[in-house]
Amino acid sequence: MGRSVYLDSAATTLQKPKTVSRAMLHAVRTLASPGRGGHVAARRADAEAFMCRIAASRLLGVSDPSNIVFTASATHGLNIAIRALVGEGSRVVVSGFEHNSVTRPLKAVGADVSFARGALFDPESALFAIESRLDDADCVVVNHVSNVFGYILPLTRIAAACRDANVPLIVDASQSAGALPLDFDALGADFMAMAGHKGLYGPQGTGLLLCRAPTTGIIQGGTGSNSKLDTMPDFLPDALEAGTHNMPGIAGLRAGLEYVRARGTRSILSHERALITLAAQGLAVIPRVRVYAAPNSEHQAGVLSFTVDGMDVEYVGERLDGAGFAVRAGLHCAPEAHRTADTLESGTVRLSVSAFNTEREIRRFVKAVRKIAN
Amino acid sequence: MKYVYFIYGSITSAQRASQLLGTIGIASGVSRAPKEMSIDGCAHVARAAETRLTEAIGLLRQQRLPPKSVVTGNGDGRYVRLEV
Repeated sequence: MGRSVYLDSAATTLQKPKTVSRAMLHAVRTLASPGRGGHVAARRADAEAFMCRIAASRLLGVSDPSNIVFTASATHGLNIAIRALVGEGSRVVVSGFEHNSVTRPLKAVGADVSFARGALFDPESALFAIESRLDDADCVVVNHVSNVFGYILPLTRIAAACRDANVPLIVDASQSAGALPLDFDALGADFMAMAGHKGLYGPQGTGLLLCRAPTTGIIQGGTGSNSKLDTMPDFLPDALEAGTHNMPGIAGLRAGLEYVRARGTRSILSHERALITLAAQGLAVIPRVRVYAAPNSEHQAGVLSFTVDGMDVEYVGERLDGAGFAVRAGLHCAPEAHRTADTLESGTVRLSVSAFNTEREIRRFVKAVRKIAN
Repeated sequence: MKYVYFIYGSITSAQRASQLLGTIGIASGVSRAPKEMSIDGCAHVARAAETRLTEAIGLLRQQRLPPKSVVTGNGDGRYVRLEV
């Protein structure tokens, strides 16, 4: 990527710990299919997959590693979770900041969706909007952190409200996994889906679905278990893991999980929040630039949106690319978040940071935006 | 040495069992289950020395990880199901 500064980690972290690519290469060379044979290459794969589940269970607060399912992406996990709990006509409450990975599967199954649109960066209104809909709800689906605005929704309180109302909860932790402390068992959600390739620093093509109990999956096939039966096993993780595992991806994901655990999510969040605050303060004083920053920085993670009056967001994104900064412009696959924040027509330019970005990069970025806006 | 094999449907459950046995000093490994002892088809085992059977099965049950069945063998390819 040359000297370009990468600020699109909400899509995919590009800078990974060196251990990730090393683990993947080692996996390609040495690992076969877990659970599919008694030979040494299969047993090495057994061990690698198990160690990845253990690493995830320690980072994410899952007492039973069997309840950690490997998926191809957060979208894959969300589809499994939604199809497990939601059917045609189910009344589903979602936040006003959901990604298409939630809204499209809900539409596809014919759910009756109610958008709980609390105001941007106002956790109390988010909680109230959800609580006020729980009496009639069959399920709640919320993202933990908005991929457009970095807004941290009050997940613990939402989960408590769902438990009190006996309403199942699905959490989209795509933007929070690795960047915010998570404790799945304590939260009491039914499912939590996350990408492996964002804040967990694994490769693309990986994801995790944390499950409270076994359920039926969306694909069927070989699992290396209960092979005489023509139905899927009823136990986790096998029930949701048909087909050969992505072992290079799983090995890379384990390396990413171990990096995050060693560095600490609180430390990563603190670093990313400091960078976002620096960017927000620098951008806010540039004429014609509108910044979507939380009044209280505790309500925002490592994502920041902005617009430049009179300039199309894609144009701003192109100019930044030309200046050596990789950002994302547009709707970020989350039109409902823009509808809630009243940015659906304009879209936004989004910068999103990782543990590898620096203050110097952010200062250079602010200078580049100033030059473009002026 | 004579071994007992704790049979699980899932490789992950067998791995958890093996890890758990290790916490009380029982050397254990994971492998494919004997075909003739795998009622539903392919399965996986956590292995332990037969002398530690009582301790091992007690721990696995206590930790809510009971095996589907338990078999024993001498390493000659023949196995016998145990009632435990």
